[in-house]
Amino acid sequence: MFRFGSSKVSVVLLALLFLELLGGTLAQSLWGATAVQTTAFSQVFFWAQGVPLPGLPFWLGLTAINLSLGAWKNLKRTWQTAGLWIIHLALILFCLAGFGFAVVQEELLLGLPVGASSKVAFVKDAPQEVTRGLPFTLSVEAFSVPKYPASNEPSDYISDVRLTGGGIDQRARIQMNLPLRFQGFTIYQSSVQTVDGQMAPVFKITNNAWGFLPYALSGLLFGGLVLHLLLRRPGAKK
Amino acid sequence: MNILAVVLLLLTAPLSALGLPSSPPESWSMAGRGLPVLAEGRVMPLESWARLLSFRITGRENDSRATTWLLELLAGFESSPVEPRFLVNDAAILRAEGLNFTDRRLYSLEELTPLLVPDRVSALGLRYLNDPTPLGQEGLRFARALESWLALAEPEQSGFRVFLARGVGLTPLQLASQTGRTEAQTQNLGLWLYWRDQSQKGQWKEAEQTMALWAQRSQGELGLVNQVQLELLNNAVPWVFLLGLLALSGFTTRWWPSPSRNVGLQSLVLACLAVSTLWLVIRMLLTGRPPVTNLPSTFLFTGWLCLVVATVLVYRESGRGMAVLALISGAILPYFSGLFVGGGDPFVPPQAVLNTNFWLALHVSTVSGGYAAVLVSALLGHAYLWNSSRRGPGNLTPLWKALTASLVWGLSLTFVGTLLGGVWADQSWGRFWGWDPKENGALLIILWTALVLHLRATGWAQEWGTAFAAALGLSVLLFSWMGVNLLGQGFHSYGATTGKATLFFGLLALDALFLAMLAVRRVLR
Repeated sequence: MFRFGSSKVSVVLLALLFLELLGGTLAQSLWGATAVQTTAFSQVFFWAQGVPLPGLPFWLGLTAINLSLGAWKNLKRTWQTAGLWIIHLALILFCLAGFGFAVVQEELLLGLPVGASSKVAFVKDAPQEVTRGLPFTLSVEAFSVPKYPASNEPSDYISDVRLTGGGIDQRARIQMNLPLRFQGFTIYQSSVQTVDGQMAPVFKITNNAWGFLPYALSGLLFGGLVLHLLLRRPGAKK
Repeated sequence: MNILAVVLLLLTAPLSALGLPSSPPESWSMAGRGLPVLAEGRVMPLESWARLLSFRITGRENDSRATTWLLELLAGFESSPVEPRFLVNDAAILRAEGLNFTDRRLYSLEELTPLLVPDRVSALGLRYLNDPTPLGQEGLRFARALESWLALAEPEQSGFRVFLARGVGLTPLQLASQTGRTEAQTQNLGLWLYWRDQSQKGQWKEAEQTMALWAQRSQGELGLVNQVQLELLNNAVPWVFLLGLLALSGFTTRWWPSPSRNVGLQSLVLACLAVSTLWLVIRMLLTGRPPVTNLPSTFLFTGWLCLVVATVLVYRESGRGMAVLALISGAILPYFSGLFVGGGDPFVPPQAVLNTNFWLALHVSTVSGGYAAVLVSALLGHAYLWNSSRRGPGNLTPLWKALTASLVWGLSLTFVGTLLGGVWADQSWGRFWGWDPKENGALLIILWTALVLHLRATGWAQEWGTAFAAALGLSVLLFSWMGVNLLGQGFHSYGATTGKATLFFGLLALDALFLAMLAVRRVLR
């Protein structure tokens, strides 16, 4: 079993990940970014011209196993290798998180003209129209798109919204790069659409309980790198 | 109607028919190049705006005649209707509009007259708006060029403003029709009218003095003296300047007598670094942002990092060959910055989604550092293969050590930079990772670099094989850095510009040919 943890298997997996990612990226130019994102990049197996092929989550899962076995077999259990252990742990968890997020992550979209309200949002990239209920009603009271002077380029997208229901009644503002965080949900300015000749904001809504994970893993990986460099520096206590 | 507005309208009439003198002296346009103009979302010297318009309409970069051409138009001189000035890279666009032309690059005003109607230009732009093909991109670029021309013909519609007084950006026409003008506005309007009058009479010296006074007063009133001078300085030091220094350094390395060779090389590397630093500092001062915020600025910043490496290496005298490689990278990379400037303005205000500072700056700076290290490792890989094919193994230890070190740095910085990009994306767009082509590109670099390092660790490749794989990293880097922006897909396609695909694939093909040649040579030996 530990043979699967060898660095030669790591090379093969890295090459396969590279090739699938390269092929998928090139395919995005032909069939659009979303078409590949929702198949090869997010499904364990996907169908291409009637042929089942392993998707990126499949290779990420195998890489996590390879890294786990490889670390257990090859890394010495000493203080000197503490940084390497942390780096490997972070990488394994990244692969697993990548696998998990790709399979279960769901994003919602909601386009609302000024004056309109909604208690539901639409699942992004769903093959058919699928809705999810929200624990609040979102209304858009005003929407503006300020532009740079003497230019048609928007400098921002600003929505004044109102959140009601469940004993709450709150007004807030959502801007590009300044999302609204509310009751575990995060509401972002995503794009615009035209409704009856009027520009209307489209929001992206996420409610990801595991949203902290990439931050925690990034911190873990960075900490591991720093620790490894400190332990490896010339003059460090052996 | 205000009498001044009538006078101004009369003066705007085409004047070539009146037998006016042409070809004003250079000093006439030099006096006006620093006049502050509000256009395209920012205040810039008139020279920058003229170059921008010339680039859009004629395709000429850094056109030295642009300022004169624009001032002539603003002074009311009619543009020659038969001079081929409008760039169209694909005549199929014109044929689709019912104009039967064979393929050539430039067309005259007279030839394009049927198209120069606002409704037709709008329809042309809409037709190609969502067309990602090369024809579609060229069609959209051409429509934007025609829009710019129409805006010049009708400055009231263009949003173009010449600053005439503090806090007020008005066209001369608006100012002429405005009641209750301040004293400063009245004085400036007087200067404008006098300048046009003198210019139309061919009294160049008087017009020049008037314009110099007008530009100086406008800059002073708006507190823009330093900003305008900085941008003019930036315009005056084009990329070619760095290339000239690079050529000189090549001369120095190759032909200068040995004792003074190092001094010469050191001086020139320092000069290149000084120019590159100047560009970055000007960029920061003019935009009020960190040095790297978009695709074009990554080339400037990465080039600067390469020049820092070159300077360190030259002063340590530890590897002149490596220093020259870093120097070449540092001198050539800014060229790509010019290629990817969207719309031709290097200081264009950012799109709303990029209108952030902290995480974006941290992400792009770190990932650019990673790109610089991977670039250096790829070039060192090329140098290793080249030297190996000429001299055989041996004497390559310093190159090998530098190659592995740059690979490790490249992997670490690109990885950390990509994670920081995830943080930025999560904060701004609501997801840490979205398999966007640009994100995939960064991951491709990470995977490739890790692969190369593991190839050596497993013993599947020796030094030559590892160097070959590292050299192939140049293609991976080019694809991830520029190629994905040419795909026209995803959030990051904001960096895409027309006609760059040929250059990109040309570079890839040239590199593949070079590496294939070295591989064949090794097999034959």
